[in-house]
Amino acid sequence: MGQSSDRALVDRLAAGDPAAFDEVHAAYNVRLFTFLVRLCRSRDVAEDLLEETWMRLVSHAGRLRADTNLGCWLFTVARNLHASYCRSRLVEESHAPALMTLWPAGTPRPSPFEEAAASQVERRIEAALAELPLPSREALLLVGVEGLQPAEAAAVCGITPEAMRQRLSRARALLSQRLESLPDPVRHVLREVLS
Amino acid sequence: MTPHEERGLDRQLAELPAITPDAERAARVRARARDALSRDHTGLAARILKWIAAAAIMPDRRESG
Repeated sequence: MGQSSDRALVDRLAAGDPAAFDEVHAAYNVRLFTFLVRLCRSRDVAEDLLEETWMRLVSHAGRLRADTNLGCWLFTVARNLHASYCRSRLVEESHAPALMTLWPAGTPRPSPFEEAAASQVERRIEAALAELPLPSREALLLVGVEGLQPAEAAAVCGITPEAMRQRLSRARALLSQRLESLPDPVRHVLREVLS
Repeated sequence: MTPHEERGLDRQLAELPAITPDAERAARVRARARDALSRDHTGLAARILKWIAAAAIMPDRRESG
């Protein structure tokens, strides 16, 4: 969605136009869910945070600035809701890996990651991504996966563009290190696709 | 990492598949949000109208009082 169409949508949302909401929902619902599920590593939590994100848009529709970038605004709300959720649950990064299992053996129902990751390489990248510290993960999810500009991602995370550039650089290096620690055959395929 | 490697990594990340939320729940949330948007707007409009009406009536009250 471009800035001019965002402006028109913001006006229509402020006027309480449900069709405008439908357009924003259609454009961002899957993207927000994809971001949230990879951020919190739980489908159920992501569904709850997604719902709250949409309700926040509705409750703030009349107060949005005319020049609001809707994508950035929505990712900021989703990201902040996740941060609040982590604080309220006292979920610390160091405990997170113990709380979730990405691909448990013999799981009765495929995890969202299993459903999404079609190939082994994608699966490995998903797994390596899930193990990254939260600040690195959200930086890569926003810029690498969602295609936001680093400056936009910086605004979403509430940091300076320079801090985001450094965070991205660290995050890519960390992800690369984790991918390098994979078994030889997978690493070989990765090297081919990354080169 | 070299810029070339970074671009390769970003390309791989960009190609990760989207993860779809539960369709039924998404439809429920959308309906709830649409409803709230219309209701809030109607509510706001009603409040503004009430305020305008009150403002219009008040001088009369002052005059009659």
